[in-house]
Amino acid sequence: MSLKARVPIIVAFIVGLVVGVGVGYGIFLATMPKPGVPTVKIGVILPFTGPLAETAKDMKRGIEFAVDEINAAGGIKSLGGAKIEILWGDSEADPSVGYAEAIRLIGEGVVAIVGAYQSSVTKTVSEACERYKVPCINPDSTSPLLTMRGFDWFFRTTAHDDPFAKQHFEFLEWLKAERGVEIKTFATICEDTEWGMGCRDVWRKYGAEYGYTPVEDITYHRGAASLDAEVSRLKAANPDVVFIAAYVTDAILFQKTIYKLGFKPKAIIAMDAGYIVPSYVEEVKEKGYWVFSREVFNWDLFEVVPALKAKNDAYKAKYGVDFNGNSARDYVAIHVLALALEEAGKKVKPWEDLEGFRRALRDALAAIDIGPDEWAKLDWAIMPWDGIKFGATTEGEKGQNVRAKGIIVQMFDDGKYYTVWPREIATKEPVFPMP
Amino acid sequence: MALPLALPSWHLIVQAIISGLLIGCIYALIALGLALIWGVMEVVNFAHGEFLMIAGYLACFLFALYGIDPVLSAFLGFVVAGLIGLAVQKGIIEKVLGSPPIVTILVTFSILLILRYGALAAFGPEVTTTHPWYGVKSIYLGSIAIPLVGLIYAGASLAATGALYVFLTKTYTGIALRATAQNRIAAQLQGVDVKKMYTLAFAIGTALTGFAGGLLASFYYIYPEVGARFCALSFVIVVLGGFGSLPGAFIGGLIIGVAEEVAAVFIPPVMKDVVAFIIFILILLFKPTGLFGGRAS
Repeated sequence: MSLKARVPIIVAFIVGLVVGVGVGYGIFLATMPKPGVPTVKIGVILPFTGPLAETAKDMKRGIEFAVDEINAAGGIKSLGGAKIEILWGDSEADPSVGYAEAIRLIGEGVVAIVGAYQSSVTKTVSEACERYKVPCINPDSTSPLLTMRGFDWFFRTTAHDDPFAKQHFEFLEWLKAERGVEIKTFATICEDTEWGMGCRDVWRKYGAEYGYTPVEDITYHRGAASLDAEVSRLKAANPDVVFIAAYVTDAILFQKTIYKLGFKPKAIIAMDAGYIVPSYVEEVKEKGYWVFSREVFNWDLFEVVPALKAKNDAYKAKYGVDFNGNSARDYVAIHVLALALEEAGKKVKPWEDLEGFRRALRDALAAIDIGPDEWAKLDWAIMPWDGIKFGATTEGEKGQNVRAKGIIVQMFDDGKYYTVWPREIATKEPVFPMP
Repeated sequence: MALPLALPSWHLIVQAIISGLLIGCIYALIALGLALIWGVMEVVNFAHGEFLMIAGYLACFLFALYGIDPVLSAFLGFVVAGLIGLAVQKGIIEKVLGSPPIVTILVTFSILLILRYGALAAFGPEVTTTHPWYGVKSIYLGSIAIPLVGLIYAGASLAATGALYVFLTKTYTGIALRATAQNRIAAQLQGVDVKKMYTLAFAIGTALTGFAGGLLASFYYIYPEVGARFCALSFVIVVLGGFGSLPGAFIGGLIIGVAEEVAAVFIPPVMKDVVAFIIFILILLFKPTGLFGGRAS
């Protein structure tokens, strides 16, 4: 191509560049906070684009709902009623992008960062926060490793896979006592990923602690053409309880295969994932009945907790959807953060000493101590937890909310999951052993 | 954390052989289609698994909407996949026959991408399946379960294979098809319309896979990428049986099915996928013509 022929392309490129920069600058000016109105800036990093976009959209609603509530109630009072302003960051479901977004938001002067759903992204985002000494609040990642790093600036409000596994065994102990049924042995069948292997390890750890005997340990590769051999081995081992960590495709095949090969343990307990995906719930039909799964939230809680029903009605009126485990956890985390902002504001003002404020905020988060009684009275405390208290030592899981809990749900013969554990909030008696 | 290792009981091995033979019938049917297309046309159909997926979706939709049994839908899957195969052959592949092999490979690979991601766009990534009444029933011989659904899909697969055998050995068209596979120039000299035979081979090959897709929906799950694993396995099977050999493809399917299931009794099941590919490498190293392949290329 001659230089002459290239001229139009170059011209078009330059014009495009000029227009693009102009529009970008315009947007920048328009979205810049007006001077004189002090706000407290919080960064939120979620996978807004990519395969988890739908989930991120949901969590964004929970965050916005909490921010609107706090601002409508007069903002952060110790900071003269300053409003909370959210700066959004898109992780694109990629740990390295998440890290870059965290650095960008920290540079823009956020007092804290909230995010980032996927454990792998939360890991890098929290590393950036730790390095630049910015509080990182994680409402929604469940890898146990995150709070085993001894980070000073990391606070996780949700429970994770380790306590979930512990809860499974507490539930079994209760079933044993309540129903007088022997439960001695268990088997695990897990996907061969970091998550699946992590689940297997925590089940085996608590199995040993509670005195159950592991009789089979199956790992399989996602998307197997057949699970016949796996299920035959389980059947031959004849465990009382089977624990499974599977994504949706394998979960459906596993449930079909146990019926096909006539394998019926006393209970099947799943670590959510595939077992709570809507397409699983829709497709598994009667082959999924009576399976237990851990959850963080379930639709029937609305019926047991009146405050939750009222909150959900307001939420639904605004967004047209119900709260779920993701949006509810993110909603609660913003309120927890607001509590700490209120305390930190009594000591330092972020516009006077940003670094000092971040430090004060970190200390305020670490000092939060909400017990079960106070938790029950809080208007925004919609998660079925015992309260908020972050672990202070690495052994006690530094930064982990030790009062967070999961719930156990069971699919009944109407194809819906009902809460069966903890008993205080259960809506149904668990059906055990599997009929 | 190794569990105490004990020799698996004979029950487990017998169960694995039964499961392997049953799933092997599905592998065999998919591989037969692939082998037929290769044998006659010398085209490697990379989009083979996508015909499986399309027929699988068809069975799932018919089940969800009208409660039609997936094995019945398999016959419709046979027709629909065959017609799509016919269109693909007439519209695209015929145009590039005679080009260097890389061209046909790229063309079938493009068709794979179009069909797979077209399905993703049209149906979404959600998983779907069917629930025939016999899906949860089994015949028990002591502790060994013979799943009814397995007997049904294996029976249907054997029937389809039998029909193909009769067609290829007893009808003029079938004999002409085999003649084309053996030696296309000689066949042409005998008055066989080779171009027509190509079209027929591609349509029958994809139709057989479509039939397998309907059967698949009766016990497996369907989603846009479901064809990938089965297609990969069918390549292994076709090589094992001798590229282009139909009896080889069928026996190869049964062998891979049994090998995978029996292996999973002895080794961690996570390794069972590797078994098929180890067999693949061994065959390539020690008997590159496959079990039944005598044809020099």
